[in-house]
Amino acid sequence: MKLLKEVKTYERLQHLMTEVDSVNLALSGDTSEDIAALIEESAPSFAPILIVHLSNQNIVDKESAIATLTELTEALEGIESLELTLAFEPTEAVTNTLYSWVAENVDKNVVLDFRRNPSIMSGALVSYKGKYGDFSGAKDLKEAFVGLRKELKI
Amino acid sequence: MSSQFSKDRFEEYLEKYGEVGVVERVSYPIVQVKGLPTVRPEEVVLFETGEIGHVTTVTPEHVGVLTFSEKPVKLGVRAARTSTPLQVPVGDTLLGKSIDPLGRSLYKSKPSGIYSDYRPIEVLPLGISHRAKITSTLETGVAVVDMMVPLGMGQRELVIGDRKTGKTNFLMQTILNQAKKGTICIYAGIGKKKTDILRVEKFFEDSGIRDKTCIVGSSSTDSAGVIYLTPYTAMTLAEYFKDQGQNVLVILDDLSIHAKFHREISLLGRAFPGRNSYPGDIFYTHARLLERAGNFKSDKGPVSITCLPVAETVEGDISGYIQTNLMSMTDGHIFFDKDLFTEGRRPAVNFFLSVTRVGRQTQTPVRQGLNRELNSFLTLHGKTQSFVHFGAELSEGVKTTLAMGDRVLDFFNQSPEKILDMDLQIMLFCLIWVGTWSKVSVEQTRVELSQITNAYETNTEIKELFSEYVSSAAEFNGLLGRISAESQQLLAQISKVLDKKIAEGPKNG
Repeated sequence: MKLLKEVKTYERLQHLMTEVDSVNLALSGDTSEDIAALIEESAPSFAPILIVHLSNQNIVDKESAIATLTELTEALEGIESLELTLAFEPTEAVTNTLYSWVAENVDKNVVLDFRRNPSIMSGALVSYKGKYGDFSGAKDLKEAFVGLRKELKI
Repeated sequence: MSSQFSKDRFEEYLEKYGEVGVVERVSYPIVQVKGLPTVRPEEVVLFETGEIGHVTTVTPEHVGVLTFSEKPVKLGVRAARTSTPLQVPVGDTLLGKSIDPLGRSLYKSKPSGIYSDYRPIEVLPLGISHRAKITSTLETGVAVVDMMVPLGMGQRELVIGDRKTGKTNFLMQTILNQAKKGTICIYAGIGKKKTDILRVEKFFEDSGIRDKTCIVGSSSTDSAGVIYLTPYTAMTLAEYFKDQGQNVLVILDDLSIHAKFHREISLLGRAFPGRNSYPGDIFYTHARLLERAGNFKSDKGPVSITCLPVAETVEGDISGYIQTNLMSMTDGHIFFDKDLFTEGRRPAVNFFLSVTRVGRQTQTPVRQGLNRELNSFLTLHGKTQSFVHFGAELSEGVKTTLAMGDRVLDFFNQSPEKILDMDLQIMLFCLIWVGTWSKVSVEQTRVELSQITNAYETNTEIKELFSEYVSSAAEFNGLLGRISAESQQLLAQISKVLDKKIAEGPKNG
C-alpha cells in the first residue's frame, strides 16, 4: 500500500485511522459535494495523502469515497505492528532507517511501535507476531558478568 | 507453584521461550491474549503483573486464558509462556491442612509450607487394564445406606437432593467412619461459604480425624477460575495418595455449583451455549473428572478412589440436565428426599429412588440376603401404608406388617454424630426382625437398641460376640435362625455386661 510509506509508526497509524473515521463521518453527514474540502477540514494531518489515495482510484462521488475509505480502515486494522523497545527516544532519521530495514527484511505492511526503557542501556527488545527477542546491551552485560564470575570463581 | 511463577521470573520466561502476548480483551476471569504463537492448551501463562492463567482455548487470532487472580488482569499487560501444565502441590504433609485449589493455605495466618512434589491437575484417567473389579464394601456407618444402598470401595455414587435435606451430615458420617478405618478422606468444598468450610474443618478436628483428612476449599468470593479448579485439585490429591497405596474417599460438594461456574466461564469465553446455556462440553468436564476414580490394580493389591459427588436438586426434581448427566456417569445415586425429611426421617434417604450399580457385588451372602429381605419387606410396607390411607379395616397380618415396618424405619433413624459398625447393624436388625421387641413400644425398642449400641461400642466382649455371630453365618436365614433361637440368651449376656458396667461405674469414678 503506497499510502503506508507515509505511516511508519504505530502512533501515526492510529492517528491516520482516527482521521479516516472523521472523514467518513463528515462525508456521511454533510450535504456539501466538495469532497476535497471536507477531507481537508476533517483530516488536517493526512488530507493530502487521502486526497491522492481517492484520486488515484478516480473517486469523485461521496458514496464511492465512503466505500473506499471504509475499505481503507479495514486494511489499516489488519496492519501488524513490530514493537521495538529502545533505550532512547528515536529521532525521525532513526525511525526512517529502522523502518526501511524492517520493510525490506520483515514485511512491507508493518508499522513500528516504539517503547522507551532506559534500563536496557542499548540495543533493543523486539516483539513481532508473538515472537520476542532481547537484543539489549543490558542482557549482553549481564551475560558478560556471569561469564566473568565463573572465570573468577566468585 | 507460587515461586515458580513469580513476577520476578517473567523476563526469564520471555527470554527462554522467545514468545510474548498482550492482553487484548478482558471478560474476567477470561482474558484474550494476542501473540504466544506456539502456546498449548492447559499450559500456564504468566503475566508481567505476577498473575497466572491457564490456557483454555487457542484460535489463530487469540489465546483464551482463564485467570485465577482476585482482581482482573489489565488490558495491554504482557504475557509469557511457561511450557508447564497447571500443577498443584501433593504430599503427606497436606493431611490435616485446608488448602485452596492452587495449593495455598486457606488461611493467611497458617502458611501451607514448602512442597517438593507437584502434579498436573489434568491427567488422562487410567485405562481399563489398570482397573480391578470392585470387591470390597465401603462402610458409611449409616444403617439405611449400608443395608439398602450398599457402596463399594472405588464406586462413584452421586449424593443428590434438595438443599437442607441432610446430604452434608451423611457425607460427614461417611468420612468419620472411613477415616477411623484408615481411609484418606478429601473434602472438596466448591464455591462454598467460608463458614461452611470452617464447620467441616471443626467437625474433623472434634472427631479426631484431622490427620486423615484434607480440605480443598474455594469460597463463593473467589475467582470463578479458582472455583472451577477445586474438584480437579481434590482428585489430583486423591491420585497421589492412591499411588502411595492408600484407599481414598473424595467428596465433591457440589458439582451442580461447579457446573454453574463452568457455564459462567464458558459464556464469558464466548463458547456457544447449549441446553440451559451450559457449554457443549459440560458432560465431558464432569465425566473426565469422575473417570479418575475407581478401583485400581497395584503391586500391593487393589487400591481405590471412592468418589461421592454431590448434586443439588430443586423441589426434588432429579430430572435436571446436570443431575441426569451426573447420574449417567456415576455408579448409582443416593436420593435425599425433602418429603421424608419433613416427615422426620433422618437421614432422609429415599431408598426406592436410590440406585447402586456395583455395591451389591461386594456384599457377603448374609448381607445380600438381608438386603433382599429388607427390600421386599419395605416395598410391601409402603404398599400397605398407602392401602391403609383408604381407611379399610385391618387384618392381623397387615397390622403386623405395619408395626414391623415402623420399627425398621425407626431403626434407620440415626443421629448425625452416630455411626454404626456393619456387624452391629446386622445384629440389631436381626434382633428386631425375629420379633425380640414386638411386645413393647417403638420408644422402648429405641432405648434398648441404644443400650446395646453403647455396650457394643464400649465392650470388646460384645463386639467379638457379634462378630462371631455374623462371620460364622453362611447365609442370612441361618443367622436369623440362630438369633431367633438364642435371642434370650444373647440379650441376657448383653444385660450381664451392662449390669457389670453399671456396677463398675461408681468404682471407676
